[in-house]
Amino acid sequence: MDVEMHIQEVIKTINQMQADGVIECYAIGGAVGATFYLEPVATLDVDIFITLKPEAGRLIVSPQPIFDHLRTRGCTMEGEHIVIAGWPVQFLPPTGPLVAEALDKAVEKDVAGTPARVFTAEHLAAIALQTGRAKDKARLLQFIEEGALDVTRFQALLARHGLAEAWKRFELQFLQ
Amino acid sequence: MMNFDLATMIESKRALRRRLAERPIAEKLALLDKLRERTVSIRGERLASNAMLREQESPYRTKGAK
Repeated sequence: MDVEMHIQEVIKTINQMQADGVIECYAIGGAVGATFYLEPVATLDVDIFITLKPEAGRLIVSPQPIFDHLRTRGCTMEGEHIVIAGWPVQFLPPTGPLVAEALDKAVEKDVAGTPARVFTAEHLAAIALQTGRAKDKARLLQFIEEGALDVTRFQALLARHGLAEAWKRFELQFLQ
Repeated sequence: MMNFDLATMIESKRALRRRLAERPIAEKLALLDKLRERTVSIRGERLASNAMLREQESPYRTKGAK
């Protein structure tokens, strides 16, 4: 691979986009988000959840300003990803109340002097439960085994987002 | 000293994972960089015709997709 990959550069670029007003707010989710709480697990892309600033006079919010902004900085499009510092990055709007809350309640972490906004461990775990693929279940187990969750907060989250039944099934399948 | 006691091996793996999880975040992100490079290198050879390696889509990605 010719291009060096640096997630920290991705975070700096996203912070700059926020400072420039291209995006309103962001938070890192997915496997990269989970790495802030767990041991690193190989992943192929970075999920950045965003809220966009609505353009004046437009009802529909468009991601076009993101692509325009990044293209002028030499980033390239690859399918639904945009490649920043060698990493395919996907910008995702909140698709439901749980992800919207995760974005709203995200926390700021320090990455060697670079601020990074990241989903809380509880939100990442609840999203993993809701998403429900094999690798999401494995991630949820990691959160539990490492004691990375505030159990009271996690349970409240599950109740608030109608995930109590899914959690019962998960417990039966993996924790008993 | 290496031994074949399963409980000891499981506990040792857990301890290693815990140590990795406790590393500074900058170090862990640098490890992700290396892990991805390795994955791309291994899978890229097998999937040379694909311009891009993708993971299985998750519902939050596909809900709004056309």
